[in-house]
Amino acid sequence: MSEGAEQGPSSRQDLIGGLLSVALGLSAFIEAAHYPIGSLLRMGPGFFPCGIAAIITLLGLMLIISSFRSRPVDRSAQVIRFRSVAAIGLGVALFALLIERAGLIPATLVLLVVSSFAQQRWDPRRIAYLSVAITALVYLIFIVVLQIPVAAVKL
Amino acid sequence: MGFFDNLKLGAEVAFTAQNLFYCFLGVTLGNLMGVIPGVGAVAAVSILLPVTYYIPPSAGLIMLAGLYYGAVYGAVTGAILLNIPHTVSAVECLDGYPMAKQGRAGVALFMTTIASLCGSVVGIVIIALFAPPVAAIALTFESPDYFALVVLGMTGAVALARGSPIRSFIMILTGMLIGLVGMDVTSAQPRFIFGVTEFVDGISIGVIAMGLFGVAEIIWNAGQVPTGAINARDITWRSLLPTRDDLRRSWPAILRGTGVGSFFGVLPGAGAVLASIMGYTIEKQVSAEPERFGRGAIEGVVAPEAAANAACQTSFVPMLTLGIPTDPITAVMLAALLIKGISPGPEFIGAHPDIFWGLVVSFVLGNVLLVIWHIPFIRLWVKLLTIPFDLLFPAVLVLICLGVYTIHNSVLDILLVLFFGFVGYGMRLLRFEPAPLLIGLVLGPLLEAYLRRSLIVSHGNVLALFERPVSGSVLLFSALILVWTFRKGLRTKRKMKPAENGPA
Repeated sequence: MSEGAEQGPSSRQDLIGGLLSVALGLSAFIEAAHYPIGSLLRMGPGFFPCGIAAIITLLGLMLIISSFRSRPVDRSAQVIRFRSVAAIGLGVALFALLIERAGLIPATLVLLVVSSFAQQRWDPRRIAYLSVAITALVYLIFIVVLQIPVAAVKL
Repeated sequence: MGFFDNLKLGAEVAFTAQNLFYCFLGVTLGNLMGVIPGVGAVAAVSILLPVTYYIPPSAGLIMLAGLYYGAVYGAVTGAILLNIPHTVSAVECLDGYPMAKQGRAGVALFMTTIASLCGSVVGIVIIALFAPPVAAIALTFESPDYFALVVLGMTGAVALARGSPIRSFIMILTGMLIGLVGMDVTSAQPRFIFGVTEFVDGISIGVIAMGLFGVAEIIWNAGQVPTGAINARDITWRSLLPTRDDLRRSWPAILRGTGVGSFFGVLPGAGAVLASIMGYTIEKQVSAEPERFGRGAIEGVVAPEAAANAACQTSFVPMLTLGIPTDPITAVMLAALLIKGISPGPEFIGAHPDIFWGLVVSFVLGNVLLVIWHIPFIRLWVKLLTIPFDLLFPAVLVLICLGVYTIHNSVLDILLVLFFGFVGYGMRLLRFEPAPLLIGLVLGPLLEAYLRRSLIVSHGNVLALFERPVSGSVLLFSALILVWTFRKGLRTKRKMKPAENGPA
């Protein structure tokens, strides 16, 4: 960002974004069409969402159309960081799975260790220290001080 | 009640031990979150949102507000020292980082603190002087007028958001759709719940904000934020002192930035981000030597900083007096108040003078506190910046997961945060901004309710929406903004077919 103006979205980003918007708009419209539409005097619960969904679909179409216009070479394409997505996704999902079944401490430890795989340099010793320290802090704040209704460790 | 009675009432509220504590907590944590790269003010505010459920509304609002302006103060530190473009302080990198490379980081940090203080103080004065009369005028508004104001809020957010207007428009409307999830209040018809009973109450804004702004941001930044090559010892007392030339250049820039920011803060959809960008652009335009910009011009650092802080304060005016949020952070705060059974709007100041004036006085306290954090204790924050982000993000993830779990003790909410984290990451890959989505989330239900009410009153006559002087002129103004925005977009996208569509 320090170098001059940002580049606009690429045509691929416009195309995918537009297609997804149309998909969202259409599926929301189909769902909302099941709700009573009502009249202008007494708007039913379907009136407003149908309107919104229709406009989203239209705007998505505009985005798709605009993606066909030629533009300078694509340099703004982004790489998906699969490593980060996987590590953080798995960590959070495991936390959700463990918090009520195994308790706060195991869930927190697992989240810390699993999500740390998103790091560039994975240093086991540093992660061990950090995980223990943060888990202790979390125990103090959430169990001792705030007393949230969840077990620290459930066997 | 006179003005000074009000201030006295505010001081009585703000100076209670509890409120002092939450002001301190909010400001300090906000500053911390601002300094830490990769976690913005929106994530900070939503992580602490559950805490407000357990404390009185005034303490909760004071804390959330403190998080907001604290984060704006803190973000500039990373911009200057490490060239980290935080959302609110992206433009401060342009000249702040060159200043740091020239060994003038201390001066930049000192002067931005002064600029922040100046911007905030003027912003606070504007709230204290103008919020009550605005609310008094708004008391005469009826549903069509509110409908029109919400439409203006939407078009403002489309016109002023970063990136293309079509994308922002799609984001606002998507936010509105998500805002509709749950039971329709008028007809008791459940909408978009897809058989999940937990969705009947709707999806909490905290969950969505933490996903889009917290988890998505962490996925984006993990493993790529540069680790700091700065030495806290370089920031000595001496290095903070500006030269006479710095002062001469800074003070008009600070004043201009404050003016620009105060104006943009009140605009719907603008907020601190746009204010700082405008502060920079205008400063560069009025400068006699624009070529100095980008190479360490102090005006280019202080003007956007003053603007961001002024806007941060004045954005409370539309939120508290009209109940219309202008940026994602005030949107989350509005939701926090609604949960507490307090609906911000024209009656708010009259009904809860203690909360309003307590908040105003707490702004003053919080800013004084931030100046203390940033001048005598600046090295503490500089040191914090040397901690690599890789070390911090797992801890922030734990905070997000636990924060969201404590909202309803619901595992589903954690999975929803993850879902919105992935959605936010995908949006970022496709260059969609999450900020308008959050605004739409709050505006959607309001828009529907006002539209319904207006049409019932007018017996289904749509034209009645345009007949009242306020609603008519506001709707006309919104239409003009929309046409202007899309024409501006078309000029850059020459070949596209004109196919504008109004929201209503």
